[in-house]
Amino acid sequence: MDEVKDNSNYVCYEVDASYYIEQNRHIEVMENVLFYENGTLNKIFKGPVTINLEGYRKKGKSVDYHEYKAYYINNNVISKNRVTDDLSIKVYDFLYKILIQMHIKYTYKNKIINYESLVSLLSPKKNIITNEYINKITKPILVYSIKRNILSVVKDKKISLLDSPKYLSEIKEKICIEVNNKIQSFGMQVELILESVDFVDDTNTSELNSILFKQKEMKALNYTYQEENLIDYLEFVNIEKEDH
Amino acid sequence: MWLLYIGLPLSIIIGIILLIKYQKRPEQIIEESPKQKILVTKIENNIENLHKKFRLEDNQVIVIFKNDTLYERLSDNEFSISTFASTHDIDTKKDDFDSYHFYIFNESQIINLSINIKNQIRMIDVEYGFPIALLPKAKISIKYKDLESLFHYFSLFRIEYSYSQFFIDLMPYLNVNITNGIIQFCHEQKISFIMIDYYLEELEQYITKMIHTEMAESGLVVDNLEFMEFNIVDSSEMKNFNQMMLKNHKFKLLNYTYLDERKKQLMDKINYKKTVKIDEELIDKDLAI
Repeated sequence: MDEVKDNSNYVCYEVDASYYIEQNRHIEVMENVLFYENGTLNKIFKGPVTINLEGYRKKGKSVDYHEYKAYYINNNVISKNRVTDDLSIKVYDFLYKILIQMHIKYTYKNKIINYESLVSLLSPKKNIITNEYINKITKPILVYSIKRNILSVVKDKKISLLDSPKYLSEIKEKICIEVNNKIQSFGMQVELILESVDFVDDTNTSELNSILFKQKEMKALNYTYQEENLIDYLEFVNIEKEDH
Repeated sequence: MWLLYIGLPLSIIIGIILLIKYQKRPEQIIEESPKQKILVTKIENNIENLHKKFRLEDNQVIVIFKNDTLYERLSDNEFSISTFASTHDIDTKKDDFDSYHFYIFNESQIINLSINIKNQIRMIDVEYGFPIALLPKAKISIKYKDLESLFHYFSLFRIEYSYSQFFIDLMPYLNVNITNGIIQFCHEQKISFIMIDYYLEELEQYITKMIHTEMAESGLVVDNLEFMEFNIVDSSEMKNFNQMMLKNHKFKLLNYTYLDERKKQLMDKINYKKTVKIDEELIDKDLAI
């Protein structure tokens, strides 16, 4: 008889059905057991609960355990798993058409929304689903979606990438909808926090920033480039005059 | 008399044994199915193979062609030409039987193909007219829908056709279509290659449609196409372009012209020279004191 494996990284795996049929077993909060009979989901036990399958024991003196399958899902493992990561994007700015490199810091957490779909991911080759395996599914989709949606919002609003941090909540919502649509077939969902968007201070970005700053200054102080030049010239002439 | 009692049953038993022996078919050899890396294996239509039994793995099928036309697709666990002939009332001794061709097709290998494509493209930009090197990375999912077209298109009527050979035949086809798709899309939509990141969804739809039409005869369909990355290869042209764009924005945003800039540069130059001269005079004066 298999004991429930005590591994802090196992999210879902098959357990010998006889383990639950032969005796009443107790599962704790966030622990779940899915019980299948002849390939069909029969019962879902959500902890804390004592699993009582006495009815199956009474079906006959000898129970044919081949008819039953039990799967153990540990939500504790997945709920503890909050991942923080960085994504680097190098892309031409939509408005200024200058190559800009940006860093996006994000945190995400996977959540199981459908136990049956999660169990269906198990196969003879993949008999244990770990946190790493779930991240292998969700992370590439997330990375792909973050980039796409930042660019999509920038394009829709016809703004510069440098202004994209203002729209983080809108971008986040779009990403969540897209990612969750894609991973719901695995029985998963993600909770995402877009922590920050920073721009790498290289020649292109710093020069563009200084141009934009100058433009703002000129607007605020209400002068033109030509006027500034004229004053520079007058100062120059004045210095020359004083020297003579 | 006792010889009659023993001899008669004995001769009957021997007779039955001989009868069974002569009625029994030639020994059936169970052939193992081809290895997974082989996509198609031909079962030669000859006497040697006539009574052999071929054991098939999951998702392997027997494909039967008659005069280059798909006759039947069987997904049984075991296959023998003689059983097939007897169930279809086909006389294996007639010349007509030579027109039947039997193949073991490893269907599982191409039921859901997911291919990563990484191909460098160098071309003249649609908007700015200078050469740009692009490095798109795409993931393409392909399904097969028509067995007969697939066999004809990729000429699978061979003694053995490997899975890697299938890729060798398929990849140039996909690469050419993706490259042409990118160029055509940018030309039609008048989009610079540097801005393609903002139009990936439209580009994916465009190329999927394009490959779908191109592949109509191949028996394959594109299920999904996703551009994972679309990098622009760093080059001197790109550096010059970036500098040019920065200058362009400087003129536009700060509302001045090239002439204004040159005037300022000239003034700065004179000013600098004058400052240097004054400094030199001051140093001379200091020395004189």
